[in-house]
This record gives sequence, C-alpha cells and structure tokens, in this order.
Amino acid sequence: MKAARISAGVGALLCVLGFLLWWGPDHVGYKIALLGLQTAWHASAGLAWAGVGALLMVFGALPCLAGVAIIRGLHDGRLGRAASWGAGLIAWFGLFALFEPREELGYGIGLLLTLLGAALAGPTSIYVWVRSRAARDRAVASAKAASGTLLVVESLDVHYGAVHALKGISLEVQQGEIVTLLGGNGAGKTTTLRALSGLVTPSGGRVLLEGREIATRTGALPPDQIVRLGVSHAPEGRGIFANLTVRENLDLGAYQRRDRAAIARDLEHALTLFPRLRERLRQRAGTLSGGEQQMLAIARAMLARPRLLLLDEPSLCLAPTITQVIFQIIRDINKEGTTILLVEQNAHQALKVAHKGYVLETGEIVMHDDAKVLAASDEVRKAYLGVG
Amino acid sequence: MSFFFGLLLVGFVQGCLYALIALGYTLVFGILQFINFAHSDVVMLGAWFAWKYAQWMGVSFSVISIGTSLGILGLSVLSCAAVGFTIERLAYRPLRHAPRINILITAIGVSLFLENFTQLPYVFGSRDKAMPQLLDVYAGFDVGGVRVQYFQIITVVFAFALMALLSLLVYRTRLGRAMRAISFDTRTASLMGIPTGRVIAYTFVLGSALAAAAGILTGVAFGSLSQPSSTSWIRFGLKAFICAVVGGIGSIEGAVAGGLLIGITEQLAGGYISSSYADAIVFGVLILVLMVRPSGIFGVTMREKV
Amino acid sequence: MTGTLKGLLPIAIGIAILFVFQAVGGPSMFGAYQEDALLVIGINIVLGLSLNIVNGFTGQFSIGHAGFMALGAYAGGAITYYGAIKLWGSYPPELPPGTGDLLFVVALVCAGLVAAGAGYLVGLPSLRLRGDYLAIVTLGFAEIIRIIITQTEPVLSKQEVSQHSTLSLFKYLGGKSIFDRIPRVTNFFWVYSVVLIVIVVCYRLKQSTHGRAMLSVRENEIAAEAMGVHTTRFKVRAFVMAAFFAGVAGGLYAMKLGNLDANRFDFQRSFESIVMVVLGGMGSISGVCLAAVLVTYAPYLLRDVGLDQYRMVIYSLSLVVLMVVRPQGLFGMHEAWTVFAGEAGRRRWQSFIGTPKRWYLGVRAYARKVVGT
Repeated sequence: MKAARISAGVGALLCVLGFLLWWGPDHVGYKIALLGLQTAWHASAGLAWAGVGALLMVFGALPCLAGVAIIRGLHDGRLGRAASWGAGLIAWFGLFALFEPREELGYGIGLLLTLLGAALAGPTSIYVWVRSRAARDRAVASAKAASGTLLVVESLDVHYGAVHALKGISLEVQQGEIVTLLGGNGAGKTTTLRALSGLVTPSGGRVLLEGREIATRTGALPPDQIVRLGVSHAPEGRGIFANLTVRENLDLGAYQRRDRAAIARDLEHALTLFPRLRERLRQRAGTLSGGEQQMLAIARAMLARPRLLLLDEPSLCLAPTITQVIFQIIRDINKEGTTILLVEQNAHQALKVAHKGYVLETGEIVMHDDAKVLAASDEVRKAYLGVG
Repeated sequence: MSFFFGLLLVGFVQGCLYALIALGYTLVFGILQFINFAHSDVVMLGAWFAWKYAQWMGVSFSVISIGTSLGILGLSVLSCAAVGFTIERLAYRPLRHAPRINILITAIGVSLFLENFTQLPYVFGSRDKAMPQLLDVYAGFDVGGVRVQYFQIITVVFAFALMALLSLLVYRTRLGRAMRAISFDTRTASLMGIPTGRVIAYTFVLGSALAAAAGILTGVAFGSLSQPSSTSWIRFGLKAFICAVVGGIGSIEGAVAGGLLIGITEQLAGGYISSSYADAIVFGVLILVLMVRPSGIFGVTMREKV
Repeated sequence: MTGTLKGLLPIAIGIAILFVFQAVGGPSMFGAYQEDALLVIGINIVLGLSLNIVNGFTGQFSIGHAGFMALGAYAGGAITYYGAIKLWGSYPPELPPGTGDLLFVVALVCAGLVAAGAGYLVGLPSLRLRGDYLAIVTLGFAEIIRIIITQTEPVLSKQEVSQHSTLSLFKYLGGKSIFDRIPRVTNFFWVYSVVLIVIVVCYRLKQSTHGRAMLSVRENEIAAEAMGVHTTRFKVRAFVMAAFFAGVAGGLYAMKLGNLDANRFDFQRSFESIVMVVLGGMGSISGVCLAAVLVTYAPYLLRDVGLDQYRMVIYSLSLVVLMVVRPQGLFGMHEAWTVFAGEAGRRRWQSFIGTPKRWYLGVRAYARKVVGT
C-alpha cells in the first residue's frame, strides 16, 4: 500500500517534470532546467574561485547543500545518508553533462520521463484511491456499530510549539450527561475544548464523535464541519461579536441551519430561557453587561441545536446571583436532552450540576469519577473546593 | 464657474470608479487585515480581459450593440472573479496564520506575477492597445456650459447600483453577517459553524468583480489601455487604496466617501493648481487625514491588543 | 575606548584590503559584466541593510524606502556634477587627480544627510501612526518626493551653470527628463567600503543597548514602553539612520549609473528593498546581505540563460513560493553562522533544509490548505 502511494507520487512528479521539460510556451520548462544547470555551473566555478566563490556558491544551492550534507553525514558516521547525498550530487552533475550539449536530447528525455511517469502514476494512484476509500468506509461502518457513547477522546496530545499542553488525556461523554472538566489555570481545560471543536489540531491521539473520527494527528475537521456534526462551543471569554446586534449574534448561532421555522421556534425558546436578551435584541452586543453576554453566548451556542454543547467557564467574572441563574439554565438545557461538557473553575457549582467529572492537572487527567464521589473526595475538596 | 462644475463632474465620476476599487481593498482589509496589493492588477485584468474578449468576438472599434457590450462586461467580470478566487486559494490561504508582512510580500509577489505574466507575448503583449468602444463615450448634452456625457451618467448609476447591492449584501444577508462576524473575530466565527475559508473566498470574488467593472469603465473612458505592467495601473489602484484609507478602511461608507473626496480633490487640484502636482496633493490629503484622524473619516479606532 | 576600537578596527582593515585590491586592478579581473553586477549587489546590500534597521530591528513598516534613495541619488548627483563645475570650472574628466574622489566623499555624506533629514520628517508621524497606516504614509512620502523631483527643471550645461547662484542650482535636477552627465566615480572600492561600514554599524547596533531597545519596540511596543524604552525616540532614530544609509546608497547608485530618472525610484524599488529584508529574515544582517545578493544577481543569471522575458515572472513566483515555504526568511532573525554552528545550529540547519519527508509533508499541508474549505 505504502509502496503504491510512493509510486503514485513519484510518477505524478515525473509526469509534471517531464511535461515541463518538453512542453511549455517558448520552451520555458527546458530553459528553467537549463537555469538550474547554469546555477550549478556557477557554483562549481565558485568553488574554484576561493574568494568570490563564497558569494557564488549560493546560486548552486543544491550541489552545495548536498556537499554539506555529505560532510555532515561522514562526520556523524551516517554513511548511508552521506552516500545517498553523494549519489544525488553525481546525478546532478551527470544530468548537467547530459543536457548541455544538445537541446533535442533534453526534450527527448523529458518526453520519456513523462510517459514513464504517467505509466507509473496512473494505475497506482487509482489503486490507492480505491483502497483508501474502501478502508474509510469500513472504518466508519464498524465504528458506528460499536459506539454507544457520544464522544470519545483517546490519549489526546496537543502541542503549542514546544509546549506540551495536553499529555495523552482520555475521556468519554455519554449521551445526555453533563460532564465537567475541573482544574487550575493552565491545566489544559480550554485546550481540550479547542481540540474538540477543531480550533487546534492534536499532535497525537484522536477524537471520536459517535464513532466518527473528527480529529487525529494527521488533521482535524475544520470547526464549521464539526458544528455541522452537532458540536457547539461557547468559547472562553464569551466570544461575542461586539459590532453586531444581539439578534445578529443569535442568527449566527444558527448559521448552519436552513429550517427557518424551527430556527424561529428555537429562538423563541432561547428568549424565554433568557428574557433579558429579548429586551436587547436590537442593541449592539458590545453594550451588554458581562452576565448578559454570557447568556447570549450560551443562547447562541444553543441555536445551533447541538447534541454536544461545550461550555468554557460560563461563570467567569460573573456575580454570584447570575452564576446561580446560569447554572440553573445549564441544568434546564440538559434536561431537554443536550449533552454538555462543562469546563469550570467553580468546582463547587460544576460538581453540583454534573453527572461525572474529570480533574486535569498540567495536561494530564489525575482523577475521574462520578460528580458526587469527586465532590466528597479529599483531594478535590482541598484543591478545588477550598475545604479542609 | 462652468469650469469648476466641469471639474466637479469629472471628479465625481472618477471618484465613483475609485470607490468601486476601494471597496475591494476595504472588504479584504476588514476581514484579513492586510493590504491586497494585487487588487490593482485585478483592475488591470478586468480591462484587458474585456479587450481580449472583444478581440475574440471580432468587435471593431466603432460603437457596438448594448448586448455585446454587456456580454463582454459580464465575461470579463466573471473572469476576474475567478482570478480573485484563485489568488486567494493559492497564495493567501496557505499563509492565513503567518505574520502580516509575509502576506504583504506575497501580495506584492502575486501583483508582480500578474503584471509580468499577462504581458508575455502570447497573453496580452507588452504594448499599449486601443480599447474598443463598448459605449459611445462622446455622446452627451450641455447643462449651463458643462458637458455631460451619457457615459458618465451610466458610470455613476452603475457604480452606485453596485455599491448599493454590496451594502445590501453585507448588512442584510446571511453571508454579509458571516463576513462581519469574521472581520470581528475569525476564530469565534468558525465556532458558529461559519465556513470561514469559503466566506473569505467570496469576499475576494466580490472585490475582484467590482474591480473588474471599474477597470473596464476606466478603459472605455480613456479609450486606451496601458500595458499590463505599466505603473499607471498600480498608481491607479494605489489611489483607490488611499481612498479606502482616507474614508476609514474596513468601512463601506468610508470607501465611497473617500473615493468621492479623493476623486474630486484630484480633479480640482489638477484644474486649479497643476496637473502634475495632483498626485502629490492626493498623497498630501492622505497624510493630513491620517495625522488628524488616524483611522480615517469613518473608521473606528482599532482595538490595541496587548 | 576599546569599544570604539573594536568597531573601527575591522573597518580600517577591510578598507585597507579593499584599497589594495582596487589599486592593483583587482575588480577588473571579474570582467566588465560581472563587475557591474557586483557594484549593483553592493549598493543593494547597503539599501537592504538600511531598511533592515527600520523594518527588521524596530519592526516599523516602511514601504517608501525608494524616496530616501531618490533624495540621496539626486543630492549626490547634483553635488558632484554642479560641484565639479563650480569648484574647478571643468567637467569631471579634466579634474586634477584625487580631487574628484574627495568631492565624491563629500557628496555621499551630503546625500546621506539630506535623506536623513527627510527620514526625520517621515519618522515623526510614527508618533501617532502604527502598522499599515505608517506604511501607507511612508509610501505617500516617497511618492511625493518622486513627484517633486519630476517637477524640477532640466539639467544645466557647463556654460549655463555660471549664470546661476549655487543654491538655485538645486532647481535644475532634470525633472521629467533624465539627469545625465553625472561623473561616474563609483567603483568597487567605494561600494564595498560603504558595505563594510554599514555591516559593522548594523552589527554593532544590534549588539548595543540601542539595538536591544529597537528590538524590544519590534517585539512588543507596549511592553517596551512599560519598561521605560522611549519608543517614539527609537522609532525616529531608526528612521533617520535608515534614511541616511539609503541616501548614501542612492549617491553611490547615481554615480555608478551616471544618469538618473525619477521614475526609477517608484514603489517597485521600495518593494525590492522590502523583499530583501523579509527574504533574508527580519533583523538578520547576514540574511539580508544574502538576500540582496540573490535578488540582485538572479536577473543577471536569467539573462544569461535566455529567460530574460520570464525574469519577472520567475522572480515573482519564487517570491510567493518562498513566502509560503519559508515565512521567516532565509535565516529567521538569526545570523548565518549561528544557523550552521553547534548543536542548536544543527537543529536549525535541519529545519532549514528539512528532510524529504518534511518536504512531502509541507507540500501536502499546502495542498490541503488550498483544496480544503
């Protein structure tokens, strides 16, 4: 399979190269090839000219790079590497010798390369395509059959540059639950949610939504497609569009949906849950108070009619009374059948509404259990509830 | 006095063209916060595509039927929209998260590529060409000593219709809402399920279409086309960009206001002071406006991120 | 004292070597064509390095560098041309030996000073403007300078000069036509002496507290301000220094070519200098030098192969490709030698060329970005 892939790739490359060589308006391809050779020529001349050579070497980038790689390889004792670079270098100059004397030869070789590449790439790429499609279909089918849970995260790794933000965390969310992620600053709670909604690509592990891979090491679905699959994320710091009106913000929440009647119903419902928003529909969202903005963020996320709602610190910077209201609403939303993954620093409230909890510390899950058990456990009480 | 009104009229028409181009700059800047230097080349392409299509249709330089004119216009606008889309895909999108100076250099690279590729002999060639008269430029009437050409009226009506359509689109539709959301915060917008990449591509398509229209109108008005790599195209685009900045970049009303202001200023300066200093005066106006109101006439002050 | 010596010593030694090289007729061994290329490369290195002070060190976005160069070029050209006639009443070829070079040095310094004055003026708006707005203003300034130059009167001949006072001569700079007959004094020695000085100045600047302050402005203006760096002062200083060297480069350019056309100093030339800075890596001195060499020499190479027609097409395409492939420029903000030296250098070297697998992954990532929604 891998060999077939490589062969397809090489063939395609040969095709393009060859095509450029023998065709092209005004023989551009041929001239570009010639340019490369000229470059090499300049470089080797530069080597002879000790002083000025240093400047000229730059133009022979390839042979020079090869030279350095050879020396490095010899120095590090990696002879195979050095040898392969050496072979490349010889081939480079060999090509030079081949091309220089006659133009027609170059075209001939180009044509040959094209045909060869086409013969190689055509069948193999079709083979790869068919095989990979079949494999994907099988994987999806088997995953669907196996899944009973809504969301599965398997040993997820996330790097921000050199920083290892998530170190192989695993968690599961069942249909209809409220699951809470607890942890201090920098524990990786927000990063987890970002990986779930496609804002960051994991460097290892995978995320499955109803058995379907939505993020793996090789790539994550873009956020808008994840929303389409039924995951809605109310981000940290609310993410309100301050330059749009409250109504427009809510409409954006339903961006993916086309069923106008149902959207209108859901909007009505959201406004009965958050009566404060109804008074301010025509106002710019930037003029709302913090609590109202949080309500707007939740209402907006609800309008996507998600199966899984990701809430990032909904009680951040809110007055205690408003926090109470927000948590009551979270409970109500859950009762209507929406699964919720709740990230909170307010462990007390979060464990009260949640069914299950995970505790994150510096990118690792250190504890997970039923919410009631967690609320009663000593470590959690000490570290997050400020008791004992 | 009729001299003054004559200048005012010409400046107004010119301003409309500037505004059309400035809208493209403003849309892209509002969403991606970078100066799309290749936009002036899309203007150039608009005019040159029209020339090419006219050649293919065998249009001579006499006045032709409205249908053919509109056909050429539509084809050329569509081609430019496609070019805008392609540029965004191939050059700008892979750099979405790169520093802005890189995107700017890429934009310059794209601009140079478009100019120099299109003036190869088998594309448009490197000579100035005569623009086919898609409309009769000289027909018109006199009002109190001021010559008003039908062509000018058509330009103004056309430009304003396009601008009205655009503002309807941006302020009244789902796509427009998505655009405004992206210009505020791309990341959160994607969390709403907005396919940000596609919306940004639409923005480029829209801007390029407007630019193409402006390019064709300019070409017809002048009656000739400068060669693709002529600096007069870049300078034209640059002035449109100045309009966007003076009006407040990122704001649609600003682009229109800036376009009219600069168009009229340029004509008056050319008429009363010296036509060779007109450009310098335009730049002077730009610097003055920026010193007094750093974010332009209609601009909102940018949030400073710490 | 030793600090000053440390800076001056390499300059002195370098200039001595260059002088001997020039005196024994060294440059002519390259042949006229290559020597010409080398002169242009040297001038462009000076230009790129000067812009690097503003764009690379201080992070201010100036896209009007050609304006300073134009000022320097016209000031330098006018001083040598009219100066030679006024002082000796003769045209340069008849100058007594040695005096021409003296005048040349004075002209270069004046070119730098004139440009530096303009740099101060352009630097002032940076008190209020940031980012793209500043960029547009610099572009505007450059265009205004260019337009004003095109409005000057045609050049006076040797006979006409005597009828005008010295100061009024600055009205006659060629205007729309070409300012020609400038003595062509620039040679290998002068160009590379200036290159040497600029490199040493830039390097010393980067190491000094001033340079660090500039870098802090680039990294985070607000934080720099909070730490007590007088950001506006450093921004204006950077503009003045950059303009000075750009002016010198302009002077060299004028006296290399022997004729000036204001339209050569339009924004395309400004872009060319920015390309050098970004290609080399913002703030990397060796990177900018290398990029200047590449950008300048590439056209000569392409002409050799008969691709002259495609010169700009290839240039622009490779610009786009480079920006996509290597957004941080050749060496990032590091210097060439740190890229290749030591264990850290090895890692950087690997990130510099990558491995076939990394190339493949890069191409695939690009393709995905292009094709995906």
